[in-house]
Amino acid sequence: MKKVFVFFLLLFLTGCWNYKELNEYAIVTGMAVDYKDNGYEVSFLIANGNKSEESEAKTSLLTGEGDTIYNAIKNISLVSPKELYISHLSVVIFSEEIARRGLLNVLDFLLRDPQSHQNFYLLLAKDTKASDILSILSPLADYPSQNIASNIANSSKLQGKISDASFNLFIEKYLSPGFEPIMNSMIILGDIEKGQTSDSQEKSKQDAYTKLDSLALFHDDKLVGWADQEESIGIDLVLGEIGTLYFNVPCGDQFAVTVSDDYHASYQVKKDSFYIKAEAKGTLREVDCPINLEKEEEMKSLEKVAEKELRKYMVKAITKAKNLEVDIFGIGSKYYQKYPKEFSKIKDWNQFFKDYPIQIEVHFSYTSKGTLEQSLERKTT
Amino acid sequence: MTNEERVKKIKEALGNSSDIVVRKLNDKITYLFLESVSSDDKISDFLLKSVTKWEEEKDLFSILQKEIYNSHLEVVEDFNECYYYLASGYTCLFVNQEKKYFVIETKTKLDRGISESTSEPLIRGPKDSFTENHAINLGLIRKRIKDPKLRISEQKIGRRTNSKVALIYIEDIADFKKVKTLEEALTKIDIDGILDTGYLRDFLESNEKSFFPKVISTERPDFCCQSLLNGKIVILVENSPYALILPAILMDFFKTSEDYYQKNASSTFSRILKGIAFLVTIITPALYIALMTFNQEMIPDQLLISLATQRSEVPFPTFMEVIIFVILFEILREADIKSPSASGASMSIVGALILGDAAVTAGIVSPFVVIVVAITSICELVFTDMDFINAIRQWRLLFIFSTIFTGIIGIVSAGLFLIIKLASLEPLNTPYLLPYSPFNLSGMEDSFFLLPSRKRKKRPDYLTQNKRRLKP
Repeated sequence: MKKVFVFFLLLFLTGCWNYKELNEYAIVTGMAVDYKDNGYEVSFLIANGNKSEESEAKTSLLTGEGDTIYNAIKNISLVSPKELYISHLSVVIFSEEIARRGLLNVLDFLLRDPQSHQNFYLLLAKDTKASDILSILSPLADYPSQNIASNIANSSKLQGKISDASFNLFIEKYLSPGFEPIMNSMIILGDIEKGQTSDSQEKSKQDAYTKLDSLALFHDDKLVGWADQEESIGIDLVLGEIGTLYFNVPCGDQFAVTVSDDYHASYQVKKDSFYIKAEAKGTLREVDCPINLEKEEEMKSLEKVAEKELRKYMVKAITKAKNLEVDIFGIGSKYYQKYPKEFSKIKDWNQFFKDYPIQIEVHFSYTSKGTLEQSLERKTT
Repeated sequence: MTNEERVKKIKEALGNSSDIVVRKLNDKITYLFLESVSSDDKISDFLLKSVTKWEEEKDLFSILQKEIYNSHLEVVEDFNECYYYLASGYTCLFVNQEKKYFVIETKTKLDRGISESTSEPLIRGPKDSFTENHAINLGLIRKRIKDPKLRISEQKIGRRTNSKVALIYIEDIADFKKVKTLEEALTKIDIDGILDTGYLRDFLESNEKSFFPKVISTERPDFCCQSLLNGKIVILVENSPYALILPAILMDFFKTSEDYYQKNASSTFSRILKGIAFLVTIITPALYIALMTFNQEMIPDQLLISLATQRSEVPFPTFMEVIIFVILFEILREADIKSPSASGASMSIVGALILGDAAVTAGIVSPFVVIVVAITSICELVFTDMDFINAIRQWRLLFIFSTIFTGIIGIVSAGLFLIIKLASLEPLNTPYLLPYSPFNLSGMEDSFFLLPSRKRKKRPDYLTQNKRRLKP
């Protein structure tokens, strides 16, 4: 009896620490940070709004301003009747201005906050306010931040030009020597005002929608430049982070669209040069030119062109990075691992990186031609 | 003693009970029985016919002993024993001036026949079950194990009920020490009455307190025989259709007799399912509370949002919701078991529709709680042993209470507590978590993974020294 009493006493002594009912929380799934009057404008996307018909969640966007991130968030909680809960944050969007000024303050908050689970995507709003992107509703997902997060997750797997740039990865790159972070960006197409209403969601052609755009290049926490489509592909190729890649192989005056789904890059660091060996295997998906696919030599020459094409992307990306003096490929950290003493002697790695020669070798081969053995244009042969 | 004195004494002792029938055949012979437990036909056919011819013979007693044609005739010396025999349906036949007297079996049939098991039904396998008749129960076991080594040691327990308690084991398989311990434990019992094996359970389980049963109760004779062959000991009590099997370890409650009649793969599958169900039924409500009120970060995004929207209209805290519904379900089940089957239909309408659906629509509970309680109770119904189910219910409540205050930490600590508790149990010196803790190779052949019959060569060595089951 005494033991039972002690057991219950123990339970009551905890005082229900950390007890919180779910309906006391406003679940934040998206966060947007804009720059405003020397301070921040932070917007939170709340996923559990009022219960509408068919018990679907209605989202709402709450905005607060402040001279620090935390102040801004505290101002949001003045608006919200429920406690803000950021453990389930899935995406954080920055405006271009914030990114140019430096993300350090925001990153510090996100890393320090005990509720933050640090496994969300970072995104840059290109040519638009960050909060606008959060408010565009998509008919394919229940709430905008989910739409964005799954868009990034899928695209990074299926497209070569999107990076799987999560918060953790960004911080990791920021902290490691000789590694500069990159970030995906997003643009809005169409009428923003109309796209924020749920009417737009019900139309078969939306008034506005969001689209993933090219990669942004950072020096430490500051935005320094944008990569274009081909450079973005090149960045992912050099990083070796490509799952599936679509690219056009010139063939006559048309293209042979190639999909590579087996890509592997290996690196070799030397004191005076860096060597990348990329190996890719691919299949044909669309052949527009009258090439004879049954001929070994023609396929071989097509492979050579594909190699050249891949090489072109990589060279473009490297040139871009060298021009901006940011080592987004982490070559510095590889150099540091191999030659720690020499690395410490280098004052500014990015300066060194600019003149550090990088050699590229690409091997490409076709594993199949798809389900069609011959080009349709060659029906006579 | 004269017959008149004897009859007078018995009538006095039984308080002139209305069911006493006395017939004085002649000067020498008087017989007496209780009509409530005796069969008139039997007395007329097997007693009267053979007794009436003899009257004034010199050696009447020994003649009667030879001539009464009843298979079950005993000569008793102790007069006080006649009360037990009378109450058991025997007829006492007194011969004037003789010290000894006869008791002749003339029981009437006071029990139902062997019927199908209701509490442990199975699809493939023998369908018979124990009844209230002790002799039939023993027969159901005896006819299955025709080994002369089968031992049935019987004693009478209960100062007033004088119930027969049979301890059954196979001599060269069962551990003699365990049999001795049990025999001693049984002799020590001094109670006014034993009406069911349930009365004995408390005396036989050792002093360790635990919700989990340390004996198996079953009404299946085939399950008893399987246990006997493995070296366990079975206890049967007069008038009780449930046998006790000792010692019981946790693993036994995941087994059914059907396991051995099926292919071993499907038995393994069903045992693993039961294992999962065991964990689910104990933990689910607690886990729900923990996730909803303490550790929301562990719920996936989409589920969290849908849970939050579902809960937004519920006025009670989550643990109240869960407790209300768990208790409602327990009441519903209690009512379902106890109520006559005619009202079963209305019960299910009230239970399923009104409690489930309407409570959600009215906003008293969220739909997910109904799912949680449904999962919990369905998983609970996988088990057949009532004591085991009760243990699960009690532990579930314990888990819920510790979670209300501390969240996931509560589940972990209650789980730790459960494991320590189970590991510390040792019914009849058999560790409760065998064959996993301590690890026992011979027990592994018949654990969650059941080997095919031709590969299970040994009996579990924690039960018997006589290990070989299959001849090589």
